Amino acid sequence: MQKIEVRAYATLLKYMPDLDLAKGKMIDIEDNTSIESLLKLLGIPKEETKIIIVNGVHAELDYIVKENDRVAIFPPVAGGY
Amino acid sequence: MDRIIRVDMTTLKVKEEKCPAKYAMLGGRSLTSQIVLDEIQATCNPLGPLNKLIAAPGVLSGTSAACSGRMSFGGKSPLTGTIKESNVGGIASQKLAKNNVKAIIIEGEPKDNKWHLLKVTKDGAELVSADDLAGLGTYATVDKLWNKYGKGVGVISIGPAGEERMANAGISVCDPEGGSGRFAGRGGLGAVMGSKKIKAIVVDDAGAGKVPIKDEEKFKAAAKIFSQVLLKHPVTGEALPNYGTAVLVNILNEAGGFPTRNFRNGRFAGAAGISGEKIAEECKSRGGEGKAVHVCHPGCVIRCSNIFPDKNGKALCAPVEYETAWSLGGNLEVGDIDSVAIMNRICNDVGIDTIEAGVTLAVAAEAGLAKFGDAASFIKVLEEVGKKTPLGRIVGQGAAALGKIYGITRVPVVKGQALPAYDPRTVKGIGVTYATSTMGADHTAGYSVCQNILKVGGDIDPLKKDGQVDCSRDMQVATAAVDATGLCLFVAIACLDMPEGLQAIADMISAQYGITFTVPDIIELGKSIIRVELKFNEAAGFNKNDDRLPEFFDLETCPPHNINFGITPAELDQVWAKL
Repeated sequence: MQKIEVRAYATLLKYMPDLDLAKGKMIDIEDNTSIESLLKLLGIPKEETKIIIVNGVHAELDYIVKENDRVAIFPPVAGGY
Repeated sequence: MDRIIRVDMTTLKVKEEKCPAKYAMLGGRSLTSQIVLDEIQATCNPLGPLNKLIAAPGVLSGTSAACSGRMSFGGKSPLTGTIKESNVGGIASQKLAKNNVKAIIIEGEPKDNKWHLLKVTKDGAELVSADDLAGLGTYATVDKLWNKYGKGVGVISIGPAGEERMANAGISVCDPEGGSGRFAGRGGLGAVMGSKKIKAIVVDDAGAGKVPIKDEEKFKAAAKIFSQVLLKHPVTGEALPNYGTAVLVNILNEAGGFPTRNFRNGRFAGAAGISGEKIAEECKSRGGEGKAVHVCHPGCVIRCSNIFPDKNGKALCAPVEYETAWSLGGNLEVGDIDSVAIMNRICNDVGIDTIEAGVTLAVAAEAGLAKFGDAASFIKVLEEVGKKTPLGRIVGQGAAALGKIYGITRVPVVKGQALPAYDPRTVKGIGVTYATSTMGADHTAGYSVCQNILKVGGDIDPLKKDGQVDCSRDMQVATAAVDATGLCLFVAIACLDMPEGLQAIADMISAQYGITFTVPDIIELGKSIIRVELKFNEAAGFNKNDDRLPEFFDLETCPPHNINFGITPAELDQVWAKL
């Protein structure tokens, strides 16, 4: 089992209703869990996601999560003006 | 649109000219930049009689095209000394277009200290005495002018900062509710307007007809496709209306590109408290006049704006956006959205650009005038601007000036304009734009953040050099073209992923003007605009040595990624080498 820190943002917040964005959610996962499996675990439909950032770096759905990873899940977003 | 209104402030005479054939297909930025090159001596004093202020709606403004209510202001910038085009929404552009106004050119210099406003209707334009408005903040100015000329008229105005010719003064355009929060902010064109002693421009389109369209059927068909593209794309159709532009706070923070404490760090622990999610939550829970979804002009389908209410539900600031949540929040280590909104309103009212103001405040903290993390200390410094004290005038001059006066070297500016809300070391594509844009450090000029962080229109690693020069150039060219159309730049997000959107824009322009305008023409238009701007800057004395970031971005690395900028001068020079 590994401990990771997870956050979902914007329109995906509804899938993690008690999430404190400042703290993130610490969850235990099995070894060899991919991002894709993690999304299933959290009940987040993968077609609603667009950007996955792990420890500050963009990651794909097949990325295998490691102990203490900080995982952030975003839907399609833009803005920034 | 074929009327050019020329206002000579030396003689106080207003003339109407028929638009010359060479300008017929120009609008927005393509028109303002061309007039700047054609009519303004590049070496002039930006606050003197030889500079001009040009205002122009876009090529599609006033039509039924979605999101077409933007306009451009142009001139020589008192902040940077380069050419400047400043783009803004609000309700004035569509009214100018409906009044058949192609451009307003304000030139000369009054001989006395009297203030004026320019009133523009379908029948013409006239100067009206406006000494009763002198000294008023922009909010009170709009209120007074709506009382005098009718609720709902377009009001373009400057605050005390513009009146006092401060280099960070912007130009406000009122929104549909009469709020003053849409700004042609960057580059100090508010000071140019102030130097011409024009306090406001009132645009009343009562009795004006529709903007003429050569082929109505073709236009309608293209406009329909265009709207559908915007509604279908998940960003323009869902993320932006629900969470506004500040939806980017959390993603930049996660990516380690959210500049914190004057560009010392790429992540801010308090980011969630100033994010788009937080703003939407407070707008909804406080209710009253607050709105999480809002338009800056009629006909916008994206609705990225908001009306941020205070704790009692009274409208405080419309909108609170990403750049301001960063500049008056994260960059100052202030994690409280209410403090951000209060400072945002102060900036709007006194009439200064919030990006430059925030970076100036961070440099002020470096100088010991305020304390990182202490919102009250920053509010105190910001309030000096409206008091017109010496410190206030220094703050009103922008980050570079304040840094110089206090001997601070850590000043994040390019060509004298402050860097916006992305660290160039960890979002390298935007760093290239900052260095090479014709307007100084500017993010909208070539928003490589799309490809670097958002995976829109491409996928480029933000931490590496590869592909960044080409990405920045392509985005700068495309943006220049969009800035000519009067369309909101956010339409580009949808069009980058859905090419039928770009085709629809070309088709709308073709149908409106009775010409054949193609997608390759859009690119060529963008290139020609940038060539005009580069030519002006060269004549103004700029060269490739000005296309550089401050040295500390190479000498210093940025946590959490701990890398420097690292793109070399020779590589940066490739952006425009073959334009």
